[in-house]
Amino acid sequence: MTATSDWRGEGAYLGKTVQIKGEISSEEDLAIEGEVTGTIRLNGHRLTVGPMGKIKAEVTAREVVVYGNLQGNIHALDRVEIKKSGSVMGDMKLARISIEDGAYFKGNIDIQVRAAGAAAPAAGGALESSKPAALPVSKV
Amino acid sequence: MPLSLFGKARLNGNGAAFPGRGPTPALLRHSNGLREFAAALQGDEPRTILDLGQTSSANLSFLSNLGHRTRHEDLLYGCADPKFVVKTEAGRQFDADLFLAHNVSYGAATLDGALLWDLADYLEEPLVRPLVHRLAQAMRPGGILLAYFHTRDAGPSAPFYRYHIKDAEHLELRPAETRPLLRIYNNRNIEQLFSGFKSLKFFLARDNLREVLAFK
Repeated sequence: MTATSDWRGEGAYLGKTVQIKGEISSEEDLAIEGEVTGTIRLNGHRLTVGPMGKIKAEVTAREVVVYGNLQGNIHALDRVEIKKSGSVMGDMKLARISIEDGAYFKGNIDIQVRAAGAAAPAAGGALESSKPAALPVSKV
Repeated sequence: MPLSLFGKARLNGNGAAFPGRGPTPALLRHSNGLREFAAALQGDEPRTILDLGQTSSANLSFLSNLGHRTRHEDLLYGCADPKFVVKTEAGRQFDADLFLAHNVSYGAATLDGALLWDLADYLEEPLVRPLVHRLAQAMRPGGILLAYFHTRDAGPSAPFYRYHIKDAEHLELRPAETRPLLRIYNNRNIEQLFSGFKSLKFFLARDNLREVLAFK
């Protein structure tokens, strides 16, 4: 990943020096590299917590991608992705999830079946990130 | 008391604790304990399962495919937080009481299953019994806990693995950071450790790991 980057996407961006206490609502995707305490509502949009981002908030969004630190409950209409540098502490309600090796998560996960017509979640709602192609088998 | 065979060796992140040891490959391991654990959780009713190992998509996927709710708490990661290390007259030490005040808090009779993996061999000594006691309190009657214990034959340089469920009978053991075994439990130690449970079932394996199912 480059320093300025790929993870931000095309939406709004809160930089490293920004500190917000309160409620954030947005009708576009949002990437945060600063500190936010409170509530984040991005109905139908994506929240990305950057590598330096520190969030203490209740989060509602379509999709949440975490490279940094997020403390608080997440309600994702679609998916949550915790990158290997990411840390999430809180309960999550979501349809799909991806957790990279090395990521940290503490809390409950409630995978919710989405309404008919929505894209099918991955098996069990969870994705495996990296697997060796073949492994020696130990029989016991 | 479990045997502290390996002194006070501690995690050395750069692998220096076991110099000269090459990279350890991942293994696919059959597990009778996992097979019975998974079988006990079959059924239409969603259960609540606690995974105390490293956050694992594979484990989450397996458990959610069975229709269960999951709780996750990576205990070794949590223990590494410097805020739980305090200054004492004897030097800087892990404060188990402080850690327990902020972690492993589960409501009474709220869990149907728990995956302890081999954490009892690696966690700080003052943490192990309170942890298992809390788990016993948190398990519902009929609940089941799966744990692994190294045997003496594993030796102090036994590779440290993270456990990822491959299917209902197999685990993928992925090598992780170098971390020495802190103690070895014999069967009697294990029975005492799980005294808050109704019964235990042991599976002996050929790879110096004992598998234990504890039933509440």
